[in-house]
Formats: sequence, C-alpha cells, structure tokens
Amino acid sequence: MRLTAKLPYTFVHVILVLFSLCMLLPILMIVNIALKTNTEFLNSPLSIASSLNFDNFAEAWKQGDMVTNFKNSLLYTGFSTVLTCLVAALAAYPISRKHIRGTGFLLGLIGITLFLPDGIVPMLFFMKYTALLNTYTGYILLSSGINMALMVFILVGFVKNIPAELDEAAALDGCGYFRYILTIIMPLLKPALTTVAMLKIINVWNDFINPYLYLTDKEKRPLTSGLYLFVGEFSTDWTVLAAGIVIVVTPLVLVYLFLQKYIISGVSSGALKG
Amino acid sequence: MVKTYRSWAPWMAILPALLLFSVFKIYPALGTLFFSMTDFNGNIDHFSWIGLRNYKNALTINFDDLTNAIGISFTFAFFTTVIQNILGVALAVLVNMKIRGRNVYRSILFMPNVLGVVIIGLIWTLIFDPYSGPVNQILGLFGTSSSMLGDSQLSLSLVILVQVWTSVGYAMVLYLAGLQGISQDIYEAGSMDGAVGWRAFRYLTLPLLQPIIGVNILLSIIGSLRVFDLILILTNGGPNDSTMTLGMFVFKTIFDSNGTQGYASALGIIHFLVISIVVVIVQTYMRRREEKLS
Amino acid sequence: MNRKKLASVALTTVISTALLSACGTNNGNDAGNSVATAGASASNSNDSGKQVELRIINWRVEDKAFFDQFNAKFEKENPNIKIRYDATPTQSYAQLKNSRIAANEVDIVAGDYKTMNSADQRELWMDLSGQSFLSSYKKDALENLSYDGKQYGLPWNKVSLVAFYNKKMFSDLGQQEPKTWTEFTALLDKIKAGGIDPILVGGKDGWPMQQIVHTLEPSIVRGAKPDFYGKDNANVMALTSKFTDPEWVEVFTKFKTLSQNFQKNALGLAYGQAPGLFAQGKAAMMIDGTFSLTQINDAKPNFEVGTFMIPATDDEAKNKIGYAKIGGAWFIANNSPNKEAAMKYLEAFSQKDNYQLYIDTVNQFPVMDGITMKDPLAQQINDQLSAKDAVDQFTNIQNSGSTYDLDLLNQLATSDLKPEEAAQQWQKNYEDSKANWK
Repeated sequence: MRLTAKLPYTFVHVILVLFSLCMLLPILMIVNIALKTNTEFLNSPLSIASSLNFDNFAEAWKQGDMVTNFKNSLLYTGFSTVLTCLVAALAAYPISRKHIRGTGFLLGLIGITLFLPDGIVPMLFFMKYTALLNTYTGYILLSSGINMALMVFILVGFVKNIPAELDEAAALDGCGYFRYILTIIMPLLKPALTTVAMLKIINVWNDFINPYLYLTDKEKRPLTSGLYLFVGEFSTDWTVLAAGIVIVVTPLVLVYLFLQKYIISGVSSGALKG
Repeated sequence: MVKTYRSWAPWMAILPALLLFSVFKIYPALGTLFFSMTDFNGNIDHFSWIGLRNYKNALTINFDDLTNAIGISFTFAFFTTVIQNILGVALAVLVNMKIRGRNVYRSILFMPNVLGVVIIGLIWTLIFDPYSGPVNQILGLFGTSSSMLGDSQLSLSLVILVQVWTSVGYAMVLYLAGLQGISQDIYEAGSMDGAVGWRAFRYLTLPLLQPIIGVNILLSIIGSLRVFDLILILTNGGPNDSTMTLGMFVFKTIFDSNGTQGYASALGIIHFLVISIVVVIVQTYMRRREEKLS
Repeated sequence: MNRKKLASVALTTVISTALLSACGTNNGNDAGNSVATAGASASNSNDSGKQVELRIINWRVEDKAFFDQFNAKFEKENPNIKIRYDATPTQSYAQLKNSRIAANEVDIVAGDYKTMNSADQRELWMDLSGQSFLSSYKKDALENLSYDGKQYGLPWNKVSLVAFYNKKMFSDLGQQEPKTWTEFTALLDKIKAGGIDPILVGGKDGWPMQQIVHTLEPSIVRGAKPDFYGKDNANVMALTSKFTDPEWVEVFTKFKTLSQNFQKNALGLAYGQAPGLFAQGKAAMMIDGTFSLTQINDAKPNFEVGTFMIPATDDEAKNKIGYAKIGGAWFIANNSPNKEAAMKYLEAFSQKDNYQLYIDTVNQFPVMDGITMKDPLAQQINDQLSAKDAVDQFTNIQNSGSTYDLDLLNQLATSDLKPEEAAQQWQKNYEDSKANWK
C-alpha cells in the first residue's frame, strides 16, 4: 500500500516488534515461572530461571489427572469441530443462497444469539431428560450447539463469494443438493472452514465451566477443567500452576501455529463481505 | 437459477444446525425468561409464579446497584471498543505492508486469542501482583508503587487493558481481511490526486473499511458488554465494586443469599435487553452513516 | 430410563440422518456415525449393574489429597458404591451447587450455615437427627447446623483466625506475644519503626481483609453485650442494636488502625500469595485463617512460626470471647435417591481413624472429642482456641435477605473514610435492604 512511501520501514518494524513483545512476554514469563522452584520464585520472581527444573511439570501432570483429561480434550475438540464444520456448512449454503423463505429472519435470530442469556438450569433439565447429561455425546452436541449461530454466520459470508454460476452448472449435471454442498461447496470453503475449525478448537479446548455443569463424571472431564481445579488448589504455589498452564496451552499453540497460515489467509479471503 | 433440487432439500440441510441452535441456545434463553417470573430457588418441586415481581425488585431495591453496574459496563465497553478498534486498524495497516516477517507479526499479534480466559486471567493476575509482578518492579524504579487490581481507581483501566490485549489481534485480522479486499487500483488513482500517506488512509482506506468497521465495532461492543469470566478471575468485581460490570453483577447474584435464582434470571434478561438496546442504537447509527457515505 | 434413552437416541438419530440423508459418499458421515454410536454406548453403560453412584460436590479443592485417599478406601469397603466426587474453586461453586440441586444430580452437598439459613433452603436437606454417627461430634458444633431441633448439616471442622508471626523477627526486636490491645498496637509501632511490614494480608480477594473484622468483633461487641444480635438477628432487625452503637464503631476504628499496619498495596495482593511470602520473611505477621498453616509449612519457612489470638480489647474477660466458625459441613439432599449410601459415607467420614486422617491432612480444628492434631503448632492453636468461649461469626447470625456491605471495610482500609461514617453507611445499607428480608 502507498502508505509505505511515507512511513520508514524501520519505524514500522519498531512498532510491530513492540506490540509483539507485549503479546509474547506475558506468555514467556509463565514458562519462566514454571521452570523455577517455589522458593526461587518467591524470592526473585522475575529473574530468568537459574536451572531447568521440570518437577513442576511432573507435579502438574500428576495432580491434574492429565492423562485422562488430555484424551477427553482431544475427543471433544475433534468431534465438535468436525460436527460444527459439517453442520454449519450445510446450513450456510441454503441461507446464503436464499433457498428457503425467511433467511432474513434467520440471520436476525443468529445475530441475537450472540448475546442471548444462558440458562443453566433449563439446559440441565434438557440434558437430564434426554439422558445426554454426563455423556460424551451430550457434551459434544452442547459444545457444537452453543455457538453454532456464529459459525453459520461466518460461513454465510464466505458462501456469497462462491459464484452462483457454479450452482447452475451443477444443477444441470443433476447433482443432488447434499452431494453438491458436500462435494463442491465444502472444498471451496476450505479456508473458511479452517477458520471456523480453529475458532471451534480454541473454544472447546478452553471451555472450563460447562464440563463441570454437564459432565458429572470426573473421568470425562477435559484438560482445562483439570487446570481450573488448580486455581484453587495451587493458588499458593504458582510454579505448579504455571506448569499446568504451559501443559494445557502447548497443544493449542502448536495447532495454531500449524493452522495459522490458513486461518489468517482464510479470514482475509473475504469472510466479511456479506 | 435452474431449480432441480426437491423443495425440502434446503430445509433438510439447515435442519441439523437449526436443531442444535434451538436446543442449546434458544431453549435455555426461553427457560431463563420463564424462571425470571418465578421465585425458583433450586427446589424444582416447590416454586411459584410471581409475575414481574423480580423485575420490579431489580428496578427498585437494587436500582442503585443495577445502574452502577450498567454504568461500569458502558465505560468498559466504550473504552475497550474504541482502543481495540483504533489499534486494530493501525496494526492491520502495518501488517498489510510489504515488509519482511509480516506473517510472523500477524501470528504473534493474534496469539492471545488462542489462550482461554482462565489462563489469561491467571497470567495477568501475576503481572499485576504488587509483590512479585513485573509492573510494580518497573514502577519501583520510578520510586512509586500501586496495588494495581486492588486499587479501585485503577482496576477498571487495567481490566480494559487486559481485554484489549486479548482481543486486539482478532480485530486486526478482521480489518486485515477488509484491507485485502480493497483494490490497489483505487490507491493508484488516488495518488494522482495527491492522496498518499495519511491522506490516502483518511480519505480512501477508512471510508472503504466502513462496513468492516461496523461489524468490528458491533462485535467488540457485544463482547465487552457480555464479559464476566475474565473479570471474575481478575478482580471478582472488586475492589469496592469498581469492576462490577452487568455480567459480573448477574453472576454474583447467583451467589448471594439475598437473591433467588429466579431473581438472577430476571437480571440475566435485563442484561440481554440492555445489550439489545445498545446494539439497535449502534446499528441504526451505522446504517445511517453508511447511507450518507454511499 | 427407557424413555430417556429413546429421547437421546431420537435426537442423535434426527441429527445424524439429516447429515446422512440424500447424498452418499463423504467423509463427514463417519463423524455423524460415531457420534451416534458413542451416544448409544454411553446410555447403555448407565444401565449395567445395580451399582449405586454417590454424587458428592465440594468447594474445598485444597483438600484433594484427603478425599482421593478416603474415597478410594470407601469404595473398596463398599464395592457396590461408586463415588463421583467433584470439587470446584469457590468462585464457581454456587453455580455448580445450584444447578446440581435443581437437576437432582447430587446426593451429598458441601455447605455451611448459609446453606440452611432460610426456610426454603432447609427444605432441600434431609434431617440427620438421631443418626448414630452424630454422637461423636461436639455438641456446640452440631448446634451450629441445626434448626428447630432438626440436624441439617454434619460439621467438618472449626476455623478461626490467628496472627501467625515470625519468631525470629520478634526476638530480634525484643518483642513478645501481646496480651492486650494496647500491647498489640505498641508492638505494631515497634515493628514498623524497625522498617518491617507488620502485617501481611492478601487483600485482593476482598474476604481476607474482611475476616479480620470477624476476629475483632466477638471480644468488643459480644464481650460487652452478649446478646447484641439476639436470636436470628432479632435485635438488629428491631433496631434495638445498631451498627452505629459505640461497640461497633470501636470495631471499625480498630480495624482501621490495623489496616494502617498492612504491607504496602495490601489490596492488590492475591490471597493465595500471602502464606508463601510470609514464609519467606516478607513481613512480621500474617493474620489469616488457621487453615493457612499447611501452605506456610509447604513454603518451608527458615524461621520458627508462632501464633497468637489477637487481643481486641484491654479487658482479659472480654478477650476470652473468641471467634470460631464451622469451616464447612455435609448436607444430604432431600431428593436424593441414594440416601442410604450417603449416610454410609457420612458414617465413614465420622469414624475416628478417618476423621483423624482428615484433620491431619487438612490441618483444621477437629469438632470431635479425642482428636489431636499432628502438627504441634496446630495443636497449640487448638489449645489456645479451646481456652476461649468461641462464638460464631456475626455474618452467620445475619437475617437472610438483608445486606451487610462488607465492601465498606475495604474502603475503610484504603480511603480516608472515618469509622463513624462507615458505621452509619453500614447501618443505612442494612435498613435499606428491608424489603428483601425474608
């Protein structure tokens, strides 16, 4: 862009490096604390860890039941993400193309749900009387459902960018409605779906309160819930807490780094033209 | 459009989403609306319909607390939205330039969005810790110190800071999308009329970004008016209610032995109505502006 | 059960058929399918066997070590009972508790006096009167959780507030444990003059600072007027006792004096940080619940820790009135289908060896006779406490629905709000809440 003509590159880099440090330093600080012993932390909280001490990680791993929780987290995140992408893509197409009556109303409803109040007790009753309470299925459906609207909303914008001529060509081919969405539209939505998937992954992985409410069995809890327990249990021992944080965050950051190319370009390829 | 699909096919396609959405979003909200007119207090076999009494109580007995919470919510939402969007646009413009490592910058700036609220809350609790936290150590170099989140004059600003830290990357990415949708030709043409640098930004980029700015502002407002979990972990609404936003106030009522769950539900509905009003006002305003521009 | 299963299967089927319908091959099908089967198998497993699942919730995440051990032992002794024990941090406990009770998804609930302080709350709990395991508990502790002759809660322990102090610092300054308020304030001045922070408080969470008032109030208010509050706060409700009375103004005044001796920026320090910092010698004293002893020991202090009860007045007789509250209690849900198993659990908890293990692990004061504490310091505090006439904290006498504006205490500590003004404000807020009183 033309702005660069006026702004010296070094100046731009300085600003960006400063902001990047603002984002990174807090995270690095936690890693640093996780490597310290408690005494070292209490006496010199900010110094660089004098030696690499992995005891905190071992303690956090053991105390947080991380093995089971880790497996559950993967399960919930995986299934909800796949389910969300599929269901949202199926819905986004007809809404975007106005194939049904009342799309305006639907979109309005979707907008409202961004701030509808939660209802824990009614939700619990539903879960209980459909025997979904405390089941893997129940939690997967729940976590796919809570922000389905937002996901559909994002995808609707993307579908608009897919030329309608394509639909006609397919219709002439006699391709069924569902086959068309699943085999033609979905692959074209790949960058958008990556974005939706990443948002969903972040969302489900970090959810800590719903698992408590809707999964009464400890063996079914995800990782973040285990970490949340630490908040009370280790509020006096920040080093273990910090190690717990690192363990929970690492997989997510790795996925993010792996997917970020798609996400940022995905969002950039016109999510919001709608 | 050649219509070859059966008429029920599109309905079948949206059915799963509609079902999930109704069951997990609409139904609980309706349930809350129902409970808000009862004196429900946890005992499902034993509660009665009391009409609008909860609402009346909220607007009379708790009027001061409620308006105080609404005021704090508005302050919080206003500053978060303004700062986040100004920074978001600025950063988006910078990382949209053809500079080395811009993808790295983009990823780093978006990074906090990956972390969950619990983790963000814990990290910043530690940063603001008056004993072990870095901020006070730096302040110490200047011979001063502060109780940070414990200082009722300062706490709200700090919570705003954390909220901006968390979500500025998201705003940036959305603006980036908008910037990339602007054709280079416009700048070429503009430069002939002398629109370069700041002028290009002011008279070309900003007007063209208008729709995205609208979406972004709306998302920021809704997000910041809803927020409570971050505040729960950072300050729990204190000190002296200085960070008691509406969302936090609703959450706290559930705790309070004073309020029944029915009452908390009524507050939840009031919270929803307050956001709706703000959203409607902002949206009407922005629509008018857009019309004026086009 | 069958109806529920049907509903669950129906919902999953509707969703998965919608996904599967019309079009044939795609990868998405697998997801839909496995979700459906996962649902079916999950509901099947619920049907198998006649096992009882005992669902317990608690907010004491800190006590994990004990409950891990105790629950495993209990399950071994009662092979037909499977325990689902759940603890969340205090912040979200109310949410968990309310929702589990409403959905009838809980058998044993951890609570305290407030869990049963109104008639509609008491309806939720089973009356434990007449159960044999009650006999081993101290009478006054049980009374705390009973109402109109019905025993609703089973007390765990007793909690009180003490001043932990750094013996080395005290002896360096030539100081001793104070016996009167005058001695105490003189001591604070000496420490301050020595360039040391006298009192360390983690004030950010609000309540740690507020609880200091709980330790001052009994001697000052109830030492002077034993019946200040009356039954169920009757005197305060009738406005014959007011917070603007000289006794309460004295409480506010003395609290303000203490707050001037907190470490700098006390309101910003997270509560959990305080014990560790105290153990590292960052202040001479820490006023905190006796429960923090475990955390202090964990942070390995390189000095000897001493404790004393804060003398709130200069009158020895008044100082004899101390403060202790029940740290928590078990309640059995009235709607629970597993009452028998729940009783078994409480019975096991009440067995001497288990209870001794509980006290040893959590380092709180026993409410059962014949239990000694392993930690010598803890035992010493327990003895100090036993020498007092302990009364419950005044907020537990508070009539339900009324407002005590505890935030005023934080203001008192940090602003130039005068104790008299705080007292008036407090009284006003209380009277203003009248419409809410139940």
